[in-house]
Amino acid sequence: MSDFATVIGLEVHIELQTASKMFCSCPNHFGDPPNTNICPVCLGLPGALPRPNAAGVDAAIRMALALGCKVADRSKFDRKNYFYPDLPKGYQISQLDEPIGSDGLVEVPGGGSVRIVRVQLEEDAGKLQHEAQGAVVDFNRAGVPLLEIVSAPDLRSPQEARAYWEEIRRIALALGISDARMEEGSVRADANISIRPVGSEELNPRVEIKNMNSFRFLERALVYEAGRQAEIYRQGGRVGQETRGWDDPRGVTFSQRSKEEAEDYRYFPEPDLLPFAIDRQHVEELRSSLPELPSGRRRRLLWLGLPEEQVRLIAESRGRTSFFDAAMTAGGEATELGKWICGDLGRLENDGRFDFEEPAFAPEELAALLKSLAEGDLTGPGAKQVIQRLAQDGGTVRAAIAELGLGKMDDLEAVRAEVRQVLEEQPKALADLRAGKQQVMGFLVGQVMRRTRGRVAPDVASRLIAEEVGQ
Amino acid sequence: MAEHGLVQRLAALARLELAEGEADRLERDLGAILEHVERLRALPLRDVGATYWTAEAAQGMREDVSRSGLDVEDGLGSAAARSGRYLLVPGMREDA
Repeated sequence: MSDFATVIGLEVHIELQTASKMFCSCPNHFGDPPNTNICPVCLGLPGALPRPNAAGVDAAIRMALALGCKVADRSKFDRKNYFYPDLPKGYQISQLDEPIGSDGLVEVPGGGSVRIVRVQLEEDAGKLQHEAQGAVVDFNRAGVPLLEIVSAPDLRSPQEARAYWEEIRRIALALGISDARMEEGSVRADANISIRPVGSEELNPRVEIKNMNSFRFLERALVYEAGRQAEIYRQGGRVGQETRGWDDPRGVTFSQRSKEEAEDYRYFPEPDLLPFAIDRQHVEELRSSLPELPSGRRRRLLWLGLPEEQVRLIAESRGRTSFFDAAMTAGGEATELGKWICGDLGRLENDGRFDFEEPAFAPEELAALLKSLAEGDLTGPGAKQVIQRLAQDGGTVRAAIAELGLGKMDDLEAVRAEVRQVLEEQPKALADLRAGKQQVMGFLVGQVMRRTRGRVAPDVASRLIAEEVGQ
Repeated sequence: MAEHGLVQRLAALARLELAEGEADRLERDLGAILEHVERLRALPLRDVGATYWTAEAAQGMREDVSRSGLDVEDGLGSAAARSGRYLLVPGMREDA
């Protein structure tokens, strides 16, 4: 592949998380029994008229703003005509030449800047499942608001295309406009890919790979397709403009149909809907209410001194970021918080025993835990037990310390009694220590910790052991 | 005169099957329309947008409130074929 450069553009589709569909009041809810959320409008029954959902338009404006796009003063919907059983009206209401947002720019982590051509609002189609006796159609998804975000052909590798798509998804999550669940098909992408000799600025015919719903599929499909096109050019052939699908089990793309031109869709302005004005003041209100975006989170966390891996882990999740922020506001030190959020709490999250979006305990308690550690009220091993308990039962650090009996033993004589007990039980280690083998000290300290369930700080245990053996 | 290929292309897009001689007639008609449009292009219309709608009104929006619509039996009652709660259509594996 070294003699060819790859040129990729992505169209990312994101289902919006509104209460109702885009042009009718049917519930927008995934997973209901088939054909539960249907009405004359989304079934395309004669005489039914669409009415746009204001929340869908607002979500599109917010996405456009987050991607640095210009928001149009006036926008309109158009009909995209095609015939397919999952499209009951025979057309999709989409946007052709007056999209809500245009001319944006997004930074791809580990990559360059990618220009955004347009952010447009449209409706999703129903869901078609192929079965033995034919195909069955569920219209619950027909009419669900869908954002389409079209990038310029600025992506230069399958890896960069994937990173871009992941970033778009993170932005949608940060804005709270979509649940962006990959496994439910809430986020899908079509990729346009062509290759050209290194150094050339010419654009060759492109192949569109349609309807991918996994980051891994996208990357694999693009790697395969770039290789396929390179092989054609090497053998003196020409790549035809076409639509191809990705067969993941076989690891190949396959021809679906020759690519449609825009005129094949016979676009025309949607006669059932009037153009709409977008109020500048409303746009400015939406702009000022935008949350911190993932790129901003990453910059801030790096500035606070967190290592890159922790920055990536925390910034990609709204839940982890807000937990971090709340704990920091409560006085927690940033790098220590990063360690706990990506360490013990991260592991609990992976095991399904903790959820940063709906935490079992308040983030302020993590700050309280760090304080107890710093002030010596709690030992490291004790803190780990406290976190486990809080993740399981909620409550406060103070209560968990009391319930678990983890309060640091303040009574030095009581600690000394425990130390003597340990030394009595470990005559060999005691003899070794007396003979100058300092390496058994760690073992003895561990025994004291175990007896006291971590309520003695290791340095105190070590000092008392030394005193007992007369060192 | 409109090009012969253009008429055939438009007929295909409009899903029209043209009878013998119809293409020639449409070519003449379309040619006359295009000539007229050419004449209109001489007007200074640079600052005039396309008139898609005759009304000046703007589209009203709907609040994002959901309510249930049709029962599956009412919605799909007139379907030619069903499979339980689904609409059943002939198999098509173009995208498979």
